[in-house]
Amino acid sequence: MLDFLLDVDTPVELANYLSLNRVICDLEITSRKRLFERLAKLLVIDLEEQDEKKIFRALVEREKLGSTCVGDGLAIPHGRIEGLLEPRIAIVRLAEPVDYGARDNKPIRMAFALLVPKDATDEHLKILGLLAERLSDNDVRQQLYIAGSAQQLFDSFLADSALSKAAG
Amino acid sequence: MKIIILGASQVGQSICEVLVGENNDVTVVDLNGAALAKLLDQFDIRTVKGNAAYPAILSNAGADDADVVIAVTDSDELNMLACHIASIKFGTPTKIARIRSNQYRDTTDLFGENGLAVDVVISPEAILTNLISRLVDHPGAFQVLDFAAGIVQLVGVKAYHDGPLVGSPLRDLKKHMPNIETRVAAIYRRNEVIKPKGHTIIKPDDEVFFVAARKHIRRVMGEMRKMDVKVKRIMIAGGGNIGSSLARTLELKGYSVKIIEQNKIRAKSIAADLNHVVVLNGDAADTELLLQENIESMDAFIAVTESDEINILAGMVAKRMGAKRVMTLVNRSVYLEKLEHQDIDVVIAPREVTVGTILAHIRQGDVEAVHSLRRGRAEAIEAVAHGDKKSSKVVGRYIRELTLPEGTGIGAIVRNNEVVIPDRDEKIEAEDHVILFMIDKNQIHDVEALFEVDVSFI
Repeated sequence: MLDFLLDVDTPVELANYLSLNRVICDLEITSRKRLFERLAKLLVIDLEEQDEKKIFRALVEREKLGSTCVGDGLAIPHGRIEGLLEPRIAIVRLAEPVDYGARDNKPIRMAFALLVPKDATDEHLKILGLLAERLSDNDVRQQLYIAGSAQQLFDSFLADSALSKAAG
Repeated sequence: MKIIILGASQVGQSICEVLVGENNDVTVVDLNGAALAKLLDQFDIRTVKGNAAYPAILSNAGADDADVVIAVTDSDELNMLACHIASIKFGTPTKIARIRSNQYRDTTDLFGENGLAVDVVISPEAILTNLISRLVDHPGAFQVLDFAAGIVQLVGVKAYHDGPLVGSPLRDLKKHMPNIETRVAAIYRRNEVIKPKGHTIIKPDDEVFFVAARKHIRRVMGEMRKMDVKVKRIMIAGGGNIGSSLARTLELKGYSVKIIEQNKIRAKSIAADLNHVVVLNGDAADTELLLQENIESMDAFIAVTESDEINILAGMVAKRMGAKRVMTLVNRSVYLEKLEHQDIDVVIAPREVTVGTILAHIRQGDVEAVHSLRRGRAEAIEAVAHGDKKSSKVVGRYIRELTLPEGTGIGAIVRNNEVVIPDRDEKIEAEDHVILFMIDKNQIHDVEALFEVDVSFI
């Protein structure tokens, strides 16, 4: 009913969807399945009404429809989940590359998972678009790869957001 | 994908062969070390010897990392338990179990969220029973496959000189049957494939694969050969799981059924189960028995014992003695290669049937059905289109714009439960079920890629 209020060009900023406790730097893991398990574990943090297994399933099911690998060792796995109020992002950088079943057969080194509410909105597409845009920037990718801790990873991921905002 | 196959028996081996061929990372578990060693000789896989349901064995097999567990040991109970344990201990996303007994299959709510953690129950016996009963319903067809819950069928039929279309170009189909839509997907002439064009002339003995709405199948078949007399009398050789389930299905459809079972006790027990079926205790290839039971008046003779040799022999004997149409189950590929339509009208390969069902759940993309054809060389699939013009490579595009691999064609589309036989100017919509025929199965990866959504699909 109050949808029109939200329509007033709410700026979509990645910072709104990420928190430091959903970032892991240099996770030791051996498969895509375990990566999705960890991402589900991160995405469920502070969501008492949500079930980690459901989130895991949502990621797996979406992945089956088409790979979310965006090249250069990066992936943006995502999924929809019922009862979720706000979109949220989790970031995992892997200690060792993991086979992601991508068509180019190249393993994954970082995953930026996005979980969104069941009903599709433009906002979700915008977030996904922003994520993809951010990751297509060579400098950002470099910063993310050299980050030494979760905090640095978090900062470099969002630093660009501040920059682009200032520029824009 | 990382896949664990539990059970190195015949089905396990066939699945292993196909999955390794499609570049999956496969581990096979079995108690039988010799069976594992044999597989290890043939394929690039890992093997683990042990009880398929033991958590430690599953762990050794890599269950922590596996995307799929396929439980096809000889025991239903072990298959269910192994899937359940894989789910509890390792959270395996996809769990497939072969379950033979309908005691389990027919119990509602046994599987799923609050039940046993099996995502896909496969029963080769049930699949084969359905397939054979469709073949009985369509005398003259050597292949009848369901898509979109049976609204659309792919039919393989051998052309005879008495069919109205035989000797004429394909484009005449439209003139012969103005109100019926069909698409000829492929024609095999002396084992060579011919890509069907409007000017292609169908010749006697051609094996024609066509797609049409189920309700139109008989009419289209009638174009390829004079319609065979409707089947009434059927004899089944072998009263095992498949034979008895087939007898029950055919009995319910009103056919007059006789079944031959060698084991006296088994024969008694199926006789008690079936109302109108005549159960005979004896040898399926015994000419005296066949003669006595009027084999020459049988419209169909179906050999489904557990032995390939008995099935082939009984089938050949029945054919020579005058049974009109003979179908046999054959598992071993050595026989399959040699047997195409010589003395037996329809050779059914159980492994093709089972493997297809499993593949539908493993393939990348939303694939509803996979049917392996021509001994695994060709394939027909039902893929669901998702997304929009931006995130999909098919949605919002005309068929003529699609970059389909050479030798792959779209036979039909099911849209909102309606069958569309599309021409080049049909546009694919989101949620369309698209039925494709691939002359060369190796094109599957290109077709999969075509139907995959890109990252922008949420």
